[in-house]
Amino acid sequence: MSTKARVIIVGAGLAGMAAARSLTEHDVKVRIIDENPHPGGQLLRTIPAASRSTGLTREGPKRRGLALLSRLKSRRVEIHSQTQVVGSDGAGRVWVDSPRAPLQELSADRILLASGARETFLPFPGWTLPGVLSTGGAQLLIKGSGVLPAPEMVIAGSGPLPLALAREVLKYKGRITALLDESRLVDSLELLKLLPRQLPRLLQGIRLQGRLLRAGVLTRHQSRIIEARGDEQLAECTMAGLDSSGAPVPGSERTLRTPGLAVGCGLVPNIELGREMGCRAGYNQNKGGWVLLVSESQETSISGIYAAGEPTGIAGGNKALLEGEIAGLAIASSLKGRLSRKDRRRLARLRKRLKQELDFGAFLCRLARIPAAGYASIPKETIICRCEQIRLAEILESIHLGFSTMASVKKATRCGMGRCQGRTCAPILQEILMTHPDAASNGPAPLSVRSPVKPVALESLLEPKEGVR
Amino acid sequence: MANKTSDVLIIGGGVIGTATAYYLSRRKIRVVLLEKGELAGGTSGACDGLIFLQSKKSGLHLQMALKSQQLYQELAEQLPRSIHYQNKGGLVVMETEQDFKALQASVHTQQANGLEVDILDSRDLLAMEPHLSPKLLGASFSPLDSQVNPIAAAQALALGAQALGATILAGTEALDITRTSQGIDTVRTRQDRFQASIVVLAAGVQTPAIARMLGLEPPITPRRGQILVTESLPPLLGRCLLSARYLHAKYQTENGAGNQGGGVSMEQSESGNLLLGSTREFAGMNRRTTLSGLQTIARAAAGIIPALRDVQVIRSFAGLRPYTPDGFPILGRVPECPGLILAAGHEGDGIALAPITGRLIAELIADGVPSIPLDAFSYERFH
Ligand SMILES: Cc1cc2nc3c(=O)[nH]c(=O)nc-3n(C[C@H](O)[C@H](O)[C@H](O)COP(=O)(O)OP(=O)(O)OC[C@H]3O[C@@H](n4cnc5c(N)ncnc54)[C@H](O)[C@@H]3O)c2cc1C
Ligand SMILES: Cc1cc2nc3c(=O)[nH]c(=O)nc-3n(C[C@H](O)[C@H](O)[C@H](O)COP(=O)(O)OP(=O)(O)OC[C@H]3O[C@@H](n4cnc5c(N)ncnc54)[C@H](O)[C@@H]3O)c2cc1C
Repeated sequence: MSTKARVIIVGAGLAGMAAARSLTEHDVKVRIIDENPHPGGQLLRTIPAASRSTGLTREGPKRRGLALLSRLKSRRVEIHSQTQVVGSDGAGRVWVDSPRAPLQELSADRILLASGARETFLPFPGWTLPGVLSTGGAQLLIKGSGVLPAPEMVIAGSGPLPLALAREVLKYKGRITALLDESRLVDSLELLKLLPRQLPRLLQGIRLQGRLLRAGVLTRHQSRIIEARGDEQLAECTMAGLDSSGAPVPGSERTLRTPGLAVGCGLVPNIELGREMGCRAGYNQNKGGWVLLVSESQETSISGIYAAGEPTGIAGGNKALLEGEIAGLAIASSLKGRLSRKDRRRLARLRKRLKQELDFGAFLCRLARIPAAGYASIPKETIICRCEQIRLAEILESIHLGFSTMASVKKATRCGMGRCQGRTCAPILQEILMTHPDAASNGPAPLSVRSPVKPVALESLLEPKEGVR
Repeated sequence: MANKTSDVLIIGGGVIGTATAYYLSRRKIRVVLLEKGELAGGTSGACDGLIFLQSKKSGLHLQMALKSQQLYQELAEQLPRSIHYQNKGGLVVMETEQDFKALQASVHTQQANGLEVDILDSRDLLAMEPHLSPKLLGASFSPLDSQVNPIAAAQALALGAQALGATILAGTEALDITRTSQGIDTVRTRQDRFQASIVVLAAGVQTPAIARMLGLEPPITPRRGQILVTESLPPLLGRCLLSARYLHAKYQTENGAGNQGGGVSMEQSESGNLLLGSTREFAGMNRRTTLSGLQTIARAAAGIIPALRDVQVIRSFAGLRPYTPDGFPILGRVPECPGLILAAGHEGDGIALAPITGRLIAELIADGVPSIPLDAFSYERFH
């Protein structure tokens, strides 16, 4: 890789690809860096390889993603797969880790962070047992290898991912023992307020529910898995009904025997790289928690660094496409001067549509959000930090001793100090602290981020950094 | 705004401030400690935890370190929470003939100064630490060198002090400090005003910023050290380790050779992570890590434990050593400012020297004279 490109885009998801397209249209040379084996991000990852090439899919964002991808390929846009951006020098140069080459420091005139999102969870005793998966992970397994994680599955959580997984399980002839959803049925009806714009989504949801019903699967609302058990491997789990605050109702427990359980409670933005670079972040429950703060041009608090898609707030594929396109145009105009009148009109249209998608995002986030009573009812013996095996009891003890901020709990317990550096447990820890009277007054605060934001082999630090390899 | 009083007010919740709070509280002196962020949120939370006696200069420095190591053994028993103290012994490994000569000379003086230390040849070294590179020429070994978790130590010292009656206020920044001709008048925070007959300034690299409000200029400058953290690994290294070149860098005052010379320190924590460190650079208050810094450390570490090439690095961080021109801390009263005691400037030895520092300051306050004279560490030596 040569050390200089005009624009580096981190993430080849919908947002990154949409930005690359509008930049390429304006003759700006871009370089996309993505850690996955194939470009396309989370959404296209779940399209089986076969239909990826034929482009046969009906869903809007997926179809548009595939079209973007073939467009970028025909334009020979530089895409580096299986390559990670793991840090920066804090002054606009990024550290790039690619297979078979040492870490390189690359510079660009502009950087776009389009690093997507990840799932979050409400921990319960047994959630670390083999056989318990995330809804996204299960989906990937099915699409990637065409096999079901287990012939029978319990699926539980909140937000749209459990439903999307259920559809896949049925498609692959699996059985669904139970489909549980945290929310109340009426919560979903809030979507009606966003009509008529969201009519297609409403219809899509209704069609999906119909398909599930025909297969004999009824979504049980206001219920949750509160424990999973098994020797070394999942064998059974306990479900419970929830009261109106979101706490399990005593006496409502039922045991479900199942070899497979998938759970997920919505998404949180991947903002670690942005924070490492010094971009300002803000906490917003309607956007999925901590997000990178951006201007109308998608520029972060650091001049020259932009963000688009899930890192600025969870709202699904359409929003990622729109923000990517907006960022692409904004970057092009910042590099090339004033946009044409046509492009300015296009920007105005995109921004208007973005507003509608942001409303939908807020609906999604409210729907997926676990209420405080959910976190407050986690049993003490539950593991919160999977990497370091830290249990809730240790966190509560730390709060009791007076170590009640995110940073001091981390210092006192090692929660978040492990291999994943808090990617999984930090959002959970934060919610737990906010339910605790002694800790809540500190307000939300993210854990500190340091490079490498993803693990790298020590070997990749061994060679000198300069030059093309 | 409330007025709060105590016998002693400590500014700074790193290892030095918390150790001082603990030893003062043991003497039944009423202490309030102010920490602007988290306990161990400064340098004491961004460093190694080596109590490395072999790295101390012979004389008073070594004498203090020896005493401190004993105090750590007691603290491990006394404090209400574990400080992860481990008396593992420590190695200074030699990579070149030049290292060998230099180390031989220093081992002789250390032995003469009462430190238990021996030279191992390459065979003995490999028998002791089988993962080390067979290319190493040997090492010096002292069974006294130890390791502690500095974050746990600061938190446990604070809890210990608290249990004895101290008030520990994290998230409380000393914003302003005023004096009269008799002594310190008031220390103001956002919410309150604090008054005490003695103020101990233990604010690490931020000490000069506060001292300046009193018209003092302690020559403490930040000297950055970067560290790499590996994933948790099965036991790879049973002892604490420094390379001879690292020791050389430690006592160099310039940037350059010291930093790029390739020295390294290593310790494997109880959780199995290896801490690989650390550079020595003057970069102001900048706490970022740099690619060239991390590469320097990785190269040096892989030269000593070849198997490290294949392990994963999960984090890096940098801390700011409170450096003074002669490498020694500034401890004790300041004649031109009655009521003030300085306890800062420990450069790369603050963890090792924290207990003895806290203890001597407590003795100074409670008894008037400390059991080890502090003249060599006076503020006036620079003025
Ligand atoms: C687990 C999961 C499952 C999902 N399933 C569905 C679904 O079934 N249906 C649906 O409609 N929506 C689904 N979504 C939501 C969907 O991903 C988003 O709506 C949309 O794709 C967001 O696009 P994006 O470009 O913002 O992010 P993404 O598509 O996530 O793209 C971001 C890309 O950046 C890469 N990346 C991140 N950090 C780095 C780095 N440091 N270096 C290099 N590369 C990096 C990521 O690996 C990813 O490829 C899912 C999301 C997740 C997290
Ligand atoms: C990379 C590295 C490796 C090291 N390895 C070792 C080692 O192995 N062994 C060893 O002995 N030493 C080591 N050291 C040195 C050691 O870390 C320091 O000497 C020691 O931590 C200094 O402690 P301190 O309490 O003086 O400073 P700090 O820990 O920085 O504490 C000062 C505190 O004062 C607070 N403060 C500042 N201003 C205010 C204010 N206005 N109001 C309230 N509070 C304030 C700060 O927030 C901070 O928490 C290492 C250092 C580095 C950087």
